[in-house]
Amino acid sequence: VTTIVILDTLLLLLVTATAVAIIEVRSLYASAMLTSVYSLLMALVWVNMHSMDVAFTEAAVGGGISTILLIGTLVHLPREEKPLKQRLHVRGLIACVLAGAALIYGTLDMPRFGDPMAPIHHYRVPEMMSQTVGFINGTKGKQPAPEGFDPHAYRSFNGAVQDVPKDPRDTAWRETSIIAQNGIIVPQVLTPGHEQHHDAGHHLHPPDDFNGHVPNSVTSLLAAYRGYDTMFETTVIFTAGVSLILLLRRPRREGYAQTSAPMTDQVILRVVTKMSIPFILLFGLYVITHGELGPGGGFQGGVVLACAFILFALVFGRPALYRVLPPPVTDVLTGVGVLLYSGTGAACLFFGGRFLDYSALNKLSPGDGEALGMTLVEYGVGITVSMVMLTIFNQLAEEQSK
Amino acid sequence: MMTASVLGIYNYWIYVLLMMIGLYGVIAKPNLIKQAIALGLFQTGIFLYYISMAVIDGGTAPVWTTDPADGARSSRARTTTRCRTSSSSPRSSSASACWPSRSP
Repeated sequence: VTTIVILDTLLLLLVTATAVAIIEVRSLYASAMLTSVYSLLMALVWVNMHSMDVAFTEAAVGGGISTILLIGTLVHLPREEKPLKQRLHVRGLIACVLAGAALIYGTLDMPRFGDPMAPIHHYRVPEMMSQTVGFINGTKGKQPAPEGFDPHAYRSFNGAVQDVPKDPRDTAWRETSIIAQNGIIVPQVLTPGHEQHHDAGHHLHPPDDFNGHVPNSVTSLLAAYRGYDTMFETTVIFTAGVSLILLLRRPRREGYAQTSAPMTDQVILRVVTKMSIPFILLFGLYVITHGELGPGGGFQGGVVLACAFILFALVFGRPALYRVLPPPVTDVLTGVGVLLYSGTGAACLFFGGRFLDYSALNKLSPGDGEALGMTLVEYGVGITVSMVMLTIFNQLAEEQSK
Repeated sequence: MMTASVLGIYNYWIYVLLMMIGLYGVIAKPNLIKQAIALGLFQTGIFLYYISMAVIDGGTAPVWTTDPADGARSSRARTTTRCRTSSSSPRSSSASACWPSRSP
């Protein structure tokens, strides 16, 4: 029993208790605030399980902006749930218990938590490997798949091995036995001078597996391997912003509502806000820029940027925010982010690569091209996300002051 | 042994629990805001399932770091290891401290 398991056990108990409280508490405000607590606890759970990017998103989106937006929504709505006839929904409870029991029965033969022998750690998607995504060499750029690599053989291998190794963490043994038993060549790019790549165990998770120039594997998965996916995610956020503007915004000639009471008479709030906003902005930009080097990225950084503007609007009033960032500017920037993303893809086409094949951006050092492309794309995501979040907040607040 | 095996699949039980709490909220609470929040709980349950599966003993965040033992600071260096840069000790000892373990 390691520290990770102990922490995990305790945190998840707290998480479950919070979840029950969120559902059962009558006041919707309390529910919203408990959601924030829940997200913070969940972020700790993710950090404990080493998934930093999920933790970052959970903290920024779940703990931060969604609570703000939830409270912004609750301003228009009754603050309490209507009392129910009976406290317990018996049929629903029975359905949930039955479904839960079935699912728990299914978990009984799951591999142990953290088991190095679990199948998930020993199987790479053959399609991914058969594309050239996995074969990047620091000096030569993208390489074709090595001689003899057969994606179909790799796919048909079911992960079963005959013997049990003495040391369950001996992944080298497992890999060599897979190769020996099935005649499968597992690809690896050998870099001259770094003999650890010849190691049999190393190519289970080799640095060459993704883009070696982009240290954060999560970012290289999101922005390169799943680049289209992330682009359309950004487009979905853009569409949400546009729909909100079309549905809720009143005609410009009526002017922007000025009635929300700013908290400028609160000296402490005003001073602290003024002092902290530059740092929040800087941190947001850092998270976006640093996304390909460490945890973080466009989504998280964009939300942090939006939080800075929302804080400004809350304390100094929306008219002050509109003087800094007029709605037309926000609207245009919403589109600019998506344009930056797809424009980066188009630039790759222009330089002779495929769409969103960032290595084409720098012919001399394709890996640096990857890093550059991902940074640009992260900025695109960040701009769109922050501006859409700001638009949502503004429209909610405008509704309130109508 | 019993404790170890229960702790081994404890995370999967919590994921089921969170999903079912969310599902119960969607079924039992007529308030739409409450239902949206309950769906959020359901969603984090699913995240918990996927992330719990991917946890590995002795693992760390999937960020490759440059080993200072190589004397190469540039991002071009192809000698990243799976563990955080912990020491400037020779490559063999620093690499054996992290996962994946190497053949003896």
